[in-house]
Amino acid sequence: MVSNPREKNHIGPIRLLNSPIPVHVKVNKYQRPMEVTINRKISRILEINEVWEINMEWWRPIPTKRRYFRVTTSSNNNLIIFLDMQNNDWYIQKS
Amino acid sequence: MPLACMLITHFPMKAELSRNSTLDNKPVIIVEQSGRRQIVMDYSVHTSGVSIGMPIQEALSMCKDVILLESNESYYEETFESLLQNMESRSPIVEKYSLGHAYIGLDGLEPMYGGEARLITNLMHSVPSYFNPRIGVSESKFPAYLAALTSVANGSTKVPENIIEFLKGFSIKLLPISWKTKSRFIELGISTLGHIAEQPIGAIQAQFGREGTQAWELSNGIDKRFLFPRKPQEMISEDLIFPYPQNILSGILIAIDSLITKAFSHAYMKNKYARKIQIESNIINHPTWIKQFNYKQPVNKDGALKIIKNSLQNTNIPGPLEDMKVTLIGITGESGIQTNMLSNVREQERLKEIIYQAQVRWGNNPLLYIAKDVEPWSPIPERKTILVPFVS
Repeated sequence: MVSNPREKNHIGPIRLLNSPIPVHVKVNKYQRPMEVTINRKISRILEINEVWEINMEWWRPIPTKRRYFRVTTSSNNNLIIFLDMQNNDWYIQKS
Repeated sequence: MPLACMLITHFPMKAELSRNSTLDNKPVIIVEQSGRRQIVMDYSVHTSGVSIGMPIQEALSMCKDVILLESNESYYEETFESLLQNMESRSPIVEKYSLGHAYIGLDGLEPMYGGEARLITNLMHSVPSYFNPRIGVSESKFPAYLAALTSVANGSTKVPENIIEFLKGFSIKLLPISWKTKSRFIELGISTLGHIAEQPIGAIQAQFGREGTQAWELSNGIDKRFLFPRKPQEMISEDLIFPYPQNILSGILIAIDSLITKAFSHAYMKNKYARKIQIESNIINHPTWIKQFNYKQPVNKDGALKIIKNSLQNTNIPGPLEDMKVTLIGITGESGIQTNMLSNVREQERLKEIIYQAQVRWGNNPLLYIAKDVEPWSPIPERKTILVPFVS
């Protein structure tokens, strides 16, 4: 039996399972990713395996426009990173 | 069904005076802790300007040379419990409403006692006269309570046939409704129960909702609340007085060990188990130290001791203990949990219970989430699945 903290019961906030995490990405003159910094560790991008774009909800004030890259890095990780074309920020995200 | 309201006003103060005659005719305030503040729990008749719930600093500024007493809730509860048992020896239906306030079912008792007057006199004798009990008799709780309030000390009042006429002069402040609703009544110039009773129920209901309906019904002598008799609870208590105030854990544990062993060795406790164990001790210049142990499964002596010893290792005992009382509560002939054919169902229920307890322990912050697919087809990955807090 545990003591009652006398707080109101409530359902906590709903969370996203796979929310994007901001990362720093260095790009070349063609706006292709060259280096990605994750947890202060820089990894060189060896290969871009796949590129796709999503352009959704154009009727909203801020539509979702992203360019995804599935890449292989020097630390031998297969990553999915994307460029948010609304604000030019880069994120990492599981597929 | 006829019932009686037994009312002992200022019960904590009267309980203190009954055990300490040196407090007679002196200004006394009983102080209780409310969060970090000390407030007035009760006061004697020789104080002036003090009210229940007032911060102690304010009370002291109004009443000089007052004697301050630490509240001892367990003593008040114990004293009232013994009075309730006296009442139960006269009527099988006794409901404890609050400390010093009880309702007693009178149905079928009149012939047994040879008339209503004798029955009420007998009930009055169930409480010692120095508690100044007051009795109100009616067909329902609220009129009986108001009748008790109007009675003189050691006296009784029976609500007359015309209940509405009897109730009409009482203040609406006596209604068991929220302070907000009472304030709104007063703002509208409705200050007595008679004022409410005069209004059509529809108007009151439209203005005040459910509470308004309740107020209107009570003002018209309609109280639908039932009388809930107390559940008989079997308890076994053992106590001791330490030869000298004890503050060393090993000494305290020895006392607990001996009291629990003694309690479980009662003939009544043969093949029986306890669901709850309460340990209480008096400490000089400190409120009574009470520790309760609730067991999910009823325990025997060994099971109880093991958990108590482990728990007390990490407990801060506030001062040297003068005495000790151990009470076994929730005595049952059964221990353990019955197994289920569908073991998975049982496991899930147990898991839910464990999660619920963990969440309560951590202040109801969600610890576990369930992943739920919301838009599995969405090209935006974070929208495919969300995490929802687990609610058991």
